[in-house]
Amino acid sequence: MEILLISEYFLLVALVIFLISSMRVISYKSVAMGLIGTSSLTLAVTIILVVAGTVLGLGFFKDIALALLLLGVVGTIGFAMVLRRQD
Amino acid sequence: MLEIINPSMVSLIQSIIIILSGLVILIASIGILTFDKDMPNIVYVRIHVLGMIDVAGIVVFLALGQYMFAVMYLVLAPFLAHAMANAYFYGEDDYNTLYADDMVEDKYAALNAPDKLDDDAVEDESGEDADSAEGNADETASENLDSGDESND
Repeated sequence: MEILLISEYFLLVALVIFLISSMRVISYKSVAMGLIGTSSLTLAVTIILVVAGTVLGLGFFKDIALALLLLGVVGTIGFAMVLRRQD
Repeated sequence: MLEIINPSMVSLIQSIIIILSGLVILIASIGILTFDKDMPNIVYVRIHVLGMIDVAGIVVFLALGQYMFAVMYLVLAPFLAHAMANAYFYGEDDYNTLYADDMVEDKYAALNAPDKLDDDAVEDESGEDADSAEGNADETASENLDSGDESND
């Protein structure tokens, strides 16, 4: 088994743990915590899709990851602006 | 020299970078949960930790050859962190917002206090007289003020 493949599987395990911790951060009773957790969840899913696409050799995983990365950032900034104007 | 860099060497370097990034992500994701939730400024702490995971993600993108992802997220991540911190500061952060409001109110109160303004004006005029009388620099204006008062007495 190649070392690159092993390292990619190790990264996938680390990202799944990061995904679980992001879900825990989302569950805190604060809007800002929800923002932080959602942003980190988006990043985790994006990296998982890119790594899985590399491991499995599927090209459209990267397209989905690209859309998720852009829309996640735009959504987080948009919601942060709404929260900022709440006062 | 270039013979040293063969495909297996590149693969090894990629593997080391990916494993190190995975370790960083693992440590940060465990650490982000172990902070006390009643700690002051916990949201800013979590945003800071998230910045470390952002950098690890960018390094992973570079190691996997996805340069467009890396550059895109390198540009977007600071805006994201600033937007979240800004929203929390003006939306929910009572402690720091009140502290900042008190600072602003104290500053305006000091500027608009009529007694303090009159005292400042008197001190400035006396300082100018003392400077003109003795010809010293502005740094010794207060000393000149004292000596001028004594000479007047």
